[in-house]
Amino acid sequence: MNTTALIRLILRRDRVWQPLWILSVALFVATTVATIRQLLPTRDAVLHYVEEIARNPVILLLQGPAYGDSVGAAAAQQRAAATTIFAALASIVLLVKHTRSDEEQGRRELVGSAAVGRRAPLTAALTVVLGANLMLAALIAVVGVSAGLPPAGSLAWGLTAASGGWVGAALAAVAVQLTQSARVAGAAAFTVFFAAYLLRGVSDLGGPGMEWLGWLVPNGWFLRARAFGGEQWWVFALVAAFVAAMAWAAFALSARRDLGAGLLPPRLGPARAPAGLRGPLGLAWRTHRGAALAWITGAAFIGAGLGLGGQTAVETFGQSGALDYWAGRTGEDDPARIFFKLVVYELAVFSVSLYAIMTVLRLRGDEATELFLSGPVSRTRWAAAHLLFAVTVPVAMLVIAGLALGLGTGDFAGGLALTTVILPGIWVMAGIAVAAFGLFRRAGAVVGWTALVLTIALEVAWEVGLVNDSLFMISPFAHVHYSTLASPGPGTLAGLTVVAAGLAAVGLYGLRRRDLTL
Amino acid sequence: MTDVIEIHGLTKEFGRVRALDGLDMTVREGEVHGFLGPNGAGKTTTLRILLGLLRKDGGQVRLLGGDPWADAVELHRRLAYVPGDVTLWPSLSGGEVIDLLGRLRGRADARRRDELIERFALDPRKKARTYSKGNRQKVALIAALASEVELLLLDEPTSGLDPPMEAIFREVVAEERRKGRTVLLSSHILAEVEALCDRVSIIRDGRIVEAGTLAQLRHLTRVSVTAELARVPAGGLPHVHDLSTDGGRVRFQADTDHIGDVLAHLAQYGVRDITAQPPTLEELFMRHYR
Repeated sequence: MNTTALIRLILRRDRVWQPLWILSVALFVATTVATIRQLLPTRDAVLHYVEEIARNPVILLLQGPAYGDSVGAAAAQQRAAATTIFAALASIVLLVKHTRSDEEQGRRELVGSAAVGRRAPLTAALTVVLGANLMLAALIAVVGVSAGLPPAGSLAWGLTAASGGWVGAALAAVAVQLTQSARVAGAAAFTVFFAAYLLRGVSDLGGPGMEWLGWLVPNGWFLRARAFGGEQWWVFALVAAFVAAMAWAAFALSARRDLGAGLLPPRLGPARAPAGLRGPLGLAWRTHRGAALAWITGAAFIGAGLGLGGQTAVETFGQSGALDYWAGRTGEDDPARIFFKLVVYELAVFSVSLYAIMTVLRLRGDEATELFLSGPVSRTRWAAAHLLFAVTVPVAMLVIAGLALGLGTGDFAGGLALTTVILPGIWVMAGIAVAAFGLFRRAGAVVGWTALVLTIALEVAWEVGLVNDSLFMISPFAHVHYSTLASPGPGTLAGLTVVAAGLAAVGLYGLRRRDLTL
Repeated sequence: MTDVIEIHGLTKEFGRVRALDGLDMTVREGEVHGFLGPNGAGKTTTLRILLGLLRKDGGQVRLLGGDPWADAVELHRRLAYVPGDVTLWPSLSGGEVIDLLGRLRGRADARRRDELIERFALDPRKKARTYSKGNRQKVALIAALASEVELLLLDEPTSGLDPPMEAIFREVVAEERRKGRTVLLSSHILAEVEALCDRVSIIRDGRIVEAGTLAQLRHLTRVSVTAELARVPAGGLPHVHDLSTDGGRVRFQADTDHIGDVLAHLAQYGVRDITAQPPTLEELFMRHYR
């Protein structure tokens, strides 16, 4: 009952984020197609690329094989998997926000007391998120067609991306029934999604003998829709059945639990605080330790995976001429080396920046705990305790990822040099977020995330040649770039660090002068 | 006796909304001061300015002899605060929050902590996420009351508590007063203020409209009279307000200063029965809000 009113409420609350994520993913597809056309201008180049892909384990693991030998097939091979991950991430965040977060913060109670059916909130959230993904599918199809790709393949890619979102939302719908914490529910849903994604990768890596493994998980179904390579439309029926089953399970579980409760009973904590829980630093440690540990572990695994598989990538690509144009643009003679560096650089830069900005913005949530700042603790000390994690955890992540890379390649110094050099750039991103948080209060988060989106956009635009070298230099990462564009010496690194410290100082100064958001 | 809180002409604007409009208030050492007003009158804004969480736009504010904005950290060692809407860290247990805040203020009394947990019947092992509003409020109250501080700032501390817990709260505040602590208690529960407070300030639209002891406030105001008369007065009576008639029965409010004249005048109509009551705090309060 009254589900439509709740749907309107969700659309109103997300009128910015919903269109933003859909458009961003569509834009990502458009730039990918343009990039592939630039990089692989001839049919021979595409053919060559596709052959190389089939032999490259890292690419098979992270992206999957190509299902055709056209520009569309190459583009889909490159980025279709990424679009499913983006769609899943956005869908999980939105679904959790409109179900468990509402419950956790008591808004659901207010809605539930009105003339609203027990199932209405979950129905409304699922409807909106599933609908948003349908729009994403349509938009990607339009983008593909207008870029000159075949309509069937474009639509298949769109549906593949949307399937990622649908499966993510379905997993999240179940996860929010199980635990009381919105944060835990979201993390659990995404972990399951990503694990299934990697299982599909292992299956692709293992060749025909391992193909059955990929069919065990939904990610294997929608990634084998064969966009631009003789589309297999029936896989989407499997996806629809999976989503329906998960939604049914979510409704069944929600009927068996109380409002605000999870199916897993909450654990009791200690009656007294451990000795370490004192002062701003102790509190920041409690706030950040779980996430920090998870990210550092992830960095170790991805680093080791790249190191082990990356060596093969270097060899196969060394003999290929497919990436000559692009290698020329980055100023490197050996396309093999530069490709390996690019993969490490992109993964490190964007995932670690994501962590750093997220960690800085946790300050906003903590700011609302009026109690803490009514104690004898200065705002600077309180903020500095949180920022310590935004500064040091990236160091740990990059050092461990560098060592893990070395584990695979046998070159520890080289691995460390490759990852740690970007640290000052990460600090600048964190610094921008601190400055925005200190100066702007509510707009702080928007500014922080926009800065990250802009650096990604600049990076992509530069690779394609839309942006020249001097404009690209406004990105902090251009100064620690993998290409010959930058040769970061101590001066560059110190300079970036000073910029980061300056931005942080501006933020802390602003924070000391402004009203708190309570 | 010195003043713990002195506020003169305090103003604060949020965008175009004027939250405080020249507020004056004084809280003396060792008193329990009631801060009365309906929602949105500016009580919480005043408390947050006293805590240096918000910045004042104009006027003077002194807290424990210091400037609440510039000397915030030093002053916070000497006070404890209970917010009106208590948010805690969801993954910390109640006991952990109490200890964290106690260690932060540096003067936590472990025996008092355990005693208060027992009196308020709080389970300190539960995660803050699972507490109700009342239980979150108890966590903040216990943390504040277990600290050896000079001043307690309490923002509607009982709004989520059930009546037995409210009674315990009153006992505890009375104990604190005996120890010589100063308490600023913002509330709109008038019975609570009447029972606990030495002096009150009533706020309306960002200004103090009435301040003083309860006796002073009563004196300034009117007496409620109900009388049974032989004849009903045709017109109005002098110094009488809100006159209503029901058969031979009349009810009205009389100015305290002219109560003698009113009774003399009333005698002409043949008084059969009369009751007169001093105004309750509620009547005082409602006068400013009608």
